Formats: sequence, C-alpha cells, structure tokens
Amino acid sequence: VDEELNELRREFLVEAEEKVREMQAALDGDPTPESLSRLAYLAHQLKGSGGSYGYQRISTDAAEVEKAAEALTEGKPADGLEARMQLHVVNLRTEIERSAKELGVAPAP
Amino acid sequence: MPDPKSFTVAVVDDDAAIRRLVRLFLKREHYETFECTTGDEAKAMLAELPWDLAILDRRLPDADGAVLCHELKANPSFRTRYIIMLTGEDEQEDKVEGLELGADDYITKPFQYPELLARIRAGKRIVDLQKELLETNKRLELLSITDGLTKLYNHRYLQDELARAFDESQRYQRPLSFCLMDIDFFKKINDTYGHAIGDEVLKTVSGLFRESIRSTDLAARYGGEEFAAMMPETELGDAITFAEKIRTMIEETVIETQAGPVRATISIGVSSVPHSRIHSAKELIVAADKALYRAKRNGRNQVQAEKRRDVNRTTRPAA
Repeated sequence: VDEELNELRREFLVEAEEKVREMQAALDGDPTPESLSRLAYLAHQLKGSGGSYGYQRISTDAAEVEKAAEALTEGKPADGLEARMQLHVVNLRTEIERSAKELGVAPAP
Repeated sequence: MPDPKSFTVAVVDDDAAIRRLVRLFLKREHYETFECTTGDEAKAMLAELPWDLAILDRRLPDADGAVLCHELKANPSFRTRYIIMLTGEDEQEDKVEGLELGADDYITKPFQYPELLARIRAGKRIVDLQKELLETNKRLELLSITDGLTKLYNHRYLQDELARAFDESQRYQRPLSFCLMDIDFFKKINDTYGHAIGDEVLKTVSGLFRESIRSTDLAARYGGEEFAAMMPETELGDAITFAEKIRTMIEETVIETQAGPVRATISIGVSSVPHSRIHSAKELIVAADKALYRAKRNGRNQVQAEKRRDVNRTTRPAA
C-alpha cells in the first residue's frame, strides 16, 4: 500500500467533493455565461486529475460535463444537455463518495 | 551554483491536485522541482530560477501554454531546455499545435505516472546530452586558444585579440600597449640542463607572468621562449612600469627545477599607441620587436620602449 499516495488521494477526493458541490450549485441556479464557464473549468480540472489519481470514471464523467457546459456556452440547443450534465454530476458525486469510503475519508457533514 | 548533476523540473499547472501528484512522483525520483500556478508566474520564475525541464499545462487560466512554450523556446538561453506539454486526451489539435510551437513532447491528462516518469527520463537523456555537448564545446574552445605547456593564450588568439583591441583603441581614441618579452640565453639553459628543465623554466616564468598581469590584460606565449602582453587602456609609461616590475621579479626568482635551482632573466620591448607611425596591430608588434632587439643588443635583462622621437610629427623637416 502506497500510504503517501493514498494521503494525496484523500486530499484530492475532499477537494473534488467541494468542486462537485459547487458544480451542483451552478446547476441548481439559473445558468449564466459566468456560471457555465466556471462549471466547465471545474469539470476540466477533474477530467485531468481524476484518472491521474487512478479514478478513470471521474475523468470520464467530468469530460461529459465539460463538453455539455461548453456546448451550452456556445449557445447550442439545450435539448437534454442540462439533464445529461446533471446525470454526470450525480455520477461524479457517487464515484467520489465511494472512493472516499474505500480510503477511509470521513464523509463531509 | 546549482549542483551540475541535479536535474530541476518546473511544474506549471493551475490545478493544485495535479501539482501535488507530480511533486510526489518527482520527489521519489530525486528530481529537484518548483511549481508555478499561472502563466505570469511561470514567466517570472522560469527566468529567475535554474531549470532543465518544464511540464507545462496547455490550458492555464491566464495564458495558452503553447504560446508560453513558444516564447520560452524563442529565448536563446532556454534553447537546450526540454518542455513537455500537458494536454487533454481528446485535445488532438492541442498536441499538434503544442509540438509545432516548440514543445519537445506531450503527455495527455489524465496521465499514468509510469508514462510521466518515462517521458521525463527521455527528456533528461536529451538535456544531459546537450549539457555534455556544451561542456565539450567550451573545453575545446578553450583548448584551441591555449598553449599546452604554459596554459597562456596561444599566438593565434593573441593576434585575433590584438587586432580587435587595436581597432577599438583607434575608434575610441584610447591607449593600447604591447610588450614582447624573451628569456635571455634560453638556448644555453636548454643546452646545459636539457629540454625538460627548459620546459620547467618556461612554466615558472609564464606562471609569474600570468599572475602579475591585470585581469583586463592578456598574456600569451608568442613563440618558443617569447611571451607577449596586451594591455588595453594603458599608456606607454605604465606599460614600461609593468615591464620593469616583471623583469625584476624574474631576475629575483630562483627557479626550482629537477636539476636544482636555475636563474633566468628576460628582456622586454614595449610599444604603445597613440603613436604617429603605428597604424596597425602588426606595426605595434614590429615596434615592440625592434625595442626588444635593442634590449638584447644593449646587454639583455632590461626593458626598452619603441623610439618616440617623431611623436606628433607628421612631416619631416627639410634636410
């Protein structure tokens, strides 16, 4: 067991959870160009870091969120995009929670 | 100065999670690292701190990593550095563009750390080779202008430097002096003690010579037992004073050799511009050579300067 790496993973998961919470808040409100671009930025970060920490599914879901957020920013028809985004954000939360539990990270209050 | 064996990796990424992960793996491989979080920070730190390889995120909050990469590679002092671009897996255009703009390699995010380390190692091999090449070039360059026995500059280098210094002195109307010195009765030393001892005398004399000149002067081995000093910004009077100093020093030195103590003296000819009849580096050397000849003819172990009867006179009086 690579304890040093696991410690970084825990830190990553805690931060990732915060990011996903911020993404959810952006989805819950009325989407503005600013909130969409922030959403895309957070998703882009998770896309790059998730798999690097060994969580490929985080990268995959985050990539979908980024793609959808960018499409909405470009003014493409919102048809189902928001719902898809919501689905992947939920996936992200589930994946992060599951991984955190595996590593023994105390769940956020 | 940084340890020449150490290898410094700069990590430029706005995502703290990526920086922490890369830092851990680099630390395990014993690389030195530092981190930058924005393009501006990277520009400042990469210009300030020593680094060998940079891992550069393509998408920075305030900059396009590829443009930054292009700027870094355009800087001549960074030409031997190695840049690995970090791009998204699905960003095919980013990869091509990054390489076009001067990146040496790329890694897609998310990355697998064995790949990350392998690519850094590949980069290190190239950087190490380039460093070695630069070192070798420097050594060869020094070798090509140095006299092997005395470690003074060689004749050819002196000629080049004197020509350059002469032009400069003419252009800016600054004084320039030149000394030509010759060990007296050196043939006798060689004949009496053998060439190995003769070489020891040459080494000791050239060592004293090198230590006594100023850092702005240039000391060279001119020929067999002949040495030369080029002294920019030095007038004739000061050059004669210097020549007298070194002559006295050699005269007073007992040279310890394998064959026991040997004594030597030197004769010196000094020339200097501004001078109404010296118009080239070659004429400056000829004038010093003539003065040296007079020093020899007058009994050796002395300093003679070029004759200045005609200073500031451009026409001869009617006979």
